[in-house]
Amino acid sequence: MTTIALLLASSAFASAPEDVVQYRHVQMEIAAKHMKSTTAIVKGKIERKQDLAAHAAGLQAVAATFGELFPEGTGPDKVKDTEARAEVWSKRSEFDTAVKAFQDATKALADAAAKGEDEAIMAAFGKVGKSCKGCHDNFKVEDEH
Amino acid sequence: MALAGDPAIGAALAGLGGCAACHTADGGPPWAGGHAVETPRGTFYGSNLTPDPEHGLGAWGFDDFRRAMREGRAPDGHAYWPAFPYTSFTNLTDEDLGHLWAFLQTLEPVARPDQPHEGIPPRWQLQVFRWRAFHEGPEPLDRGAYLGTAVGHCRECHSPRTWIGRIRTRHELEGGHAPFTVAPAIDPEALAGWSADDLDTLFTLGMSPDGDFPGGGMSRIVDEGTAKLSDADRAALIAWLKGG
Ligand code: HEC
Ligand code: HEC
Ligand code: HEC
Repeated sequence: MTTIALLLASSAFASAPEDVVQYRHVQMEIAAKHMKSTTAIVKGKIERKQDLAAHAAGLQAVAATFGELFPEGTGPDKVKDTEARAEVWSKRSEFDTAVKAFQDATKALADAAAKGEDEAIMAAFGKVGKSCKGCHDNFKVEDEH
Repeated sequence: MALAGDPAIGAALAGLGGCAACHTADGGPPWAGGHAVETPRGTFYGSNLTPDPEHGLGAWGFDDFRRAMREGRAPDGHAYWPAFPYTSFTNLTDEDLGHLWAFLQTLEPVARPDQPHEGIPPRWQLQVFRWRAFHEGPEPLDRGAYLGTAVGHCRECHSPRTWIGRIRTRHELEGGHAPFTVAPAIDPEALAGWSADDLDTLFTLGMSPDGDFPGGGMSRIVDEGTAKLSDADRAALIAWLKGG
């Protein structure tokens, strides 16, 4: 009962901005792990072609809701730990286009993995990488060294 | 000299050499100059490289271009500031200079005047003459080193420069002062945790082993340079980085 009450209670209030940022970090890390596994498979480092569909589905799941993880009030002006740039909010329609490209590319990978065609898989995999990189180039701050 | 440059090869070389980044102002027309290269000795602006006859290279011949790239000298004989990394480009072969020149001819001419440099120290021309005096002309390099040092001036971002803007070779690839942002060390020790495959993934997909995508000038080197190299050239570049 307590759990349910808590869930209901939390839905009545907005989540804490720090928690939203942490949650989107984890989502990105999940995407990164699926990408790493996919890279190992498409490069022939490991014979696990049968896993491609699962990795594609994992990436698709991240892409599906990713845009929702950037509500107002979770930008660099409010949260210290975020690496999102202010442009996510000031150029929202461009950011949404980048999210859409992420969704389209991961869907193309899922379709190609379902069909099992190597060439289509390679092409879609390249497209997913481009969608990650394209969004980071414009909306994520660079790492410090 | 007769020329048979291939603009497509020239485009990939230009991408690896990062020319466009220095030769394009933020938000300005591509290749028309104006990016500020900040060095401890002053701020230098990349020139207009489009074939515009007045403000670009429209009045140049191939020999002018070759002298600029190999000797760091302008058609009127004055020495360029080494913020223009000709200390790397000096090792480019005539053949590759021909490809680059052919590529530059395909650009749209833009009538944008060059921006004057700021804070040039007195007597710097002397330093450049000294470089030329000690410099022995193109070195023979193996393919990987050639791609990494003559074409791609990886060291310009990944190692510190001396006060006259020359590269401090002892610190080569140990991480330095990027014209855009601070670049991490990429000597064999720093890259010990990276397999050749990890580097190949970075140079094709742009993704590093932690699943992130290096930005800060590197992103463009990947998209316009390393990703366009032939597989054999990319493998040679990686072997050079790994010190083998
Ligand atoms: C639509 C934009 C967008 C797309 C597409 C995107 N990312 Fe990100 N990514 C971001 C932003 C913004 C951040 C910084 C989030 C923050 O710190 O609040 C980030 C952060 C990350 C991080 C760091 C996470 C952490 O723990 O700090 C990794 C790793 C990452 N992304 C990998 C990927 C991979 C792999 C893909 C593609 C499969 C991808 N990203 C696609 C925008 C995107
Ligand atoms: C790190 C920044 C940087 C990079 C990378 C760079 N340049 Fe330059 N370049 C400059 C600067 C700064 C100047 C102006 C030097 C001066 O006036 O003393 C210049 C000048 C030149 C000139 C002389 C132009 C003139 O009008 O006199 C040529 C030609 C040139 N660069 C070609 C190239 C080519 C080709 C590439 C890529 C293979 C390249 N540059 C890469 C910074 C750069
Ligand atoms: C315009 C400057 C610039 C040039 C030129 C450049 N790099 Fe980089 N490079 C960077 C920056 C900045 C980073 C770090 C970016 C980040 O982490 O977001 C980087 C990252 C890297 C990394 C990943 C290192 C790590 O520890 O994360 C490698 C490997 C690398 N560069 C290799 C090269 C090679 C090889 C060349 C020459 C072909 C080259 N770079 C040319 C700026 C540059």
